[in-house]
Amino acid sequence: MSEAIEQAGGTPRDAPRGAAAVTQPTHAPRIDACVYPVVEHANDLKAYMPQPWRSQGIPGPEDYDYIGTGPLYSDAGPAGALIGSDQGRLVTRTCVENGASHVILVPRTRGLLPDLDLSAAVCAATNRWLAEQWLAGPYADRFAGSIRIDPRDPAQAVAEIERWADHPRMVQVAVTTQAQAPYGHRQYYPVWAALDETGLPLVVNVDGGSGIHYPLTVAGSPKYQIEKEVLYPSNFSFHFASMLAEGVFERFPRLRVVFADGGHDFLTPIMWRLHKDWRGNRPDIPWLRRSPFEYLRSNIRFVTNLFAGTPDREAWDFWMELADVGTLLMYGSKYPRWDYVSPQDATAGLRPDWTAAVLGGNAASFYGLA
Amino acid sequence: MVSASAALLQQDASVRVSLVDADVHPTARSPEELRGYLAEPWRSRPPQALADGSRQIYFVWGGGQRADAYPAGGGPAGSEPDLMHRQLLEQAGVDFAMLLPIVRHCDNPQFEAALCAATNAWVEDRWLGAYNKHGRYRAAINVCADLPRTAVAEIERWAGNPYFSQVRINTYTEALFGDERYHPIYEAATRHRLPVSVHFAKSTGVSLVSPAGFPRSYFEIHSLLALDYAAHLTSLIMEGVFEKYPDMKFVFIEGGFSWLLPLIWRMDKAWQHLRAEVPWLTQKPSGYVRRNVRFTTQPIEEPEKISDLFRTFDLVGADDILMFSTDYPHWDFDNPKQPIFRRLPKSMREKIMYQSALEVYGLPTHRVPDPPVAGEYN
Amino acid sequence: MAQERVTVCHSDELPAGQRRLVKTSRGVIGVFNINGSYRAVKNVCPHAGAELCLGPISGTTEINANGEIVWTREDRILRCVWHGWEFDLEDGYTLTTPRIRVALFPVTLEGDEVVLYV
Repeated sequence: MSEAIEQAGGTPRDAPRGAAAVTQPTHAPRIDACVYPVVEHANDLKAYMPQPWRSQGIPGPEDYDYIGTGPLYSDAGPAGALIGSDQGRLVTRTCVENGASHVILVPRTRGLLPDLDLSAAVCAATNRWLAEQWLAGPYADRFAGSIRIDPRDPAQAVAEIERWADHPRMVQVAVTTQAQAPYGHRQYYPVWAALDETGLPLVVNVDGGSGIHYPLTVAGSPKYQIEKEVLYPSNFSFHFASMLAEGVFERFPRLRVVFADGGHDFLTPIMWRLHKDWRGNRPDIPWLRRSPFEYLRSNIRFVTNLFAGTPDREAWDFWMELADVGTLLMYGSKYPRWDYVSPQDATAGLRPDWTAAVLGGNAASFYGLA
Repeated sequence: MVSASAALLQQDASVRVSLVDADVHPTARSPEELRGYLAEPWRSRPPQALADGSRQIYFVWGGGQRADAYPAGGGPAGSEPDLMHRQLLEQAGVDFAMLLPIVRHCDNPQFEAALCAATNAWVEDRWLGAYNKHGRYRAAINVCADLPRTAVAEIERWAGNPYFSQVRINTYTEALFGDERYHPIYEAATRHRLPVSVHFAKSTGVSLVSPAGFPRSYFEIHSLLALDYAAHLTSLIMEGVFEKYPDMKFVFIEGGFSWLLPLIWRMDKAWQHLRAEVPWLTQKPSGYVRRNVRFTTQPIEEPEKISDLFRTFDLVGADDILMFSTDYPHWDFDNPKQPIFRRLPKSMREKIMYQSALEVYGLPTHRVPDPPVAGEYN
Repeated sequence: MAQERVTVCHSDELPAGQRRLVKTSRGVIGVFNINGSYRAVKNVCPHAGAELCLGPISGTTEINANGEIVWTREDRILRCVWHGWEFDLEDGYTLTTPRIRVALFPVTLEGDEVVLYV
């Protein structure tokens, strides 16, 4: 740990704004909870895929539906290779410059993939590639990995979980925010049972790979990237409400969910509504046996998002206290995507003790790291 | 906004207004009651075409209505003017009520537009006519947004009646509200100084799909209605509707309110980075809210610490943009006499409970006293 | 505070499954005959002030150890006519949290009369 701090250049340079007067204890864990590793070349993944999947076309690793005006990435890449494939560069940014001792890798999907067997094959190949190239490579001791699954086929998803659950560096299981049905539905139960059994959390983030793409908002499809950016993190609510209504956390109490798109800034009004509507509708959703609030600390976490925040420090402090960020929020840079956020920006306006928790304390205890 | 109050000032208007209800739902005694107001070919369609019982997808407590609001003589809640008068105007103490009979979203927009026209005629005849001797009811002009030309014609048809105080569209449109196909509606409404409002309605199931698939329960749908409105509001702002129609007022009814705070923060922060995508905005997104957008209170949030709610109201400028509503006769009716409204900070209470609505809808500051005898509307 | 003794009615006038609303010094009280047992409930919902005693009495849903939905608390749950809050008439408390109570009052059969104490 001390070596990591040395490499990171010590705490003062990386101390978040507003916390300059407070010395960060040097043993405070610093974890980047969401970074996107990529293959060097799009077709590299094929080497990890058996036939017939190896012969099938799959989309590239670029964002499924990005339409913004700016570049897709926040960093440059090595010549002739995809951005996000250079492990050394990634470690420099996230660990040396930003001070993380551990980085949680969340590899992304490859397009929409309506064929669920192909999707399962892509997941399997991604996991093998990650384990071989990143979790056993030169920087392996900094990396923790996510096991990609496609929950549309529970049997294959469970097999994939069982294949990797005991890998010492795999710390969670990854699914997309897009889904054919919200994650409270019973078809997913075999998958949640495997997570409940293994204790691995579920990370949910927006991406292709689910075989269906409903409009990004419940009112319809937004046109502009700015609309999408404003709204998509709040989509965690649909999965969360579903899991509450169906009693998923009662049936699988060890299932923990990380909403990596963010949404903690929407959390409070959503919770007020969920709680109020529970009180009037309880007989129709008896699986929700306790107040929705009671499942937050035990079962839910959020990753930071670039556009959460306001310059009004007092207001943000009030709002973040309501959202219990001191426990629920984990910093994730989203490197190397364009919505990369630095540790300073992600924790701007937060109280010092929350900052330490968000920058690594929460992730350390949640994932059992550092 | 030019007040319509001069046209409606009555000689014996001696009671000072202190409570305006921005969301009330009168209903026809049966769908058949609308047939007489329907144009052909819909007038000759069979009863099942008019009935909408099969469109009830999620079942909610009490059939969605207060169980004590069903008339003793039969008929749905909200269909009996005497009962509404007693429960809403007398017991709840409402001075002016905005009537919003809901027209369901239809697969066929022509039919939806025809139902809108019939409902508007029915409202004008009954609730703004025979039942409105006291002059305390106003109503919205229902239009089908996905037929903008027809909608504009419908607005023009009723805009001269000062008791029609706003235009209402459904939330389940083919595009988000900012899309230019809807702009003629905004233009016409604004030209007539009528706010445009949105309220939920029964719909086909496909309208209810969330970004994650179909919810199982009313609990999921109802608690997340806020996100439906958030998407439309974001669209209205980002597409520059309020740049184009700076005098426009848009009212979000029954979708909650506290979600506005993180939304405006996110819009402003995203705009700092992504403003090149929406160069027509001349100010940051939140700047449009105070000028152009309004919300109703029901169903009011009920956090354990009321002060958290009032602080949220303070941060988002509730005193300028929030209007009290009951949603009578629905099951999740907000009672204006419950403690949360009495405990509103004084600085916002009057604005929320009536003043903002008086401005938005051009209502007079005084009304006639209660009639001495009930039952005069039959 | 002195208790008021209120004669509600003759027992024949309140058969099982029926209810009566009674005006008292403590406000309107709903008196129910539930399978031969009497319950007296304040007719004001502590949530938003609805007339609680107009609501239905029935059982309600619960989840058993196998995660299955079952029907329980038969004839014990009074549900408010407005927001649907459930009150267990055994103790007057809501089934949801924070637990909020509606006032219950002693009511018995004395001779042929249903008698309420408020």
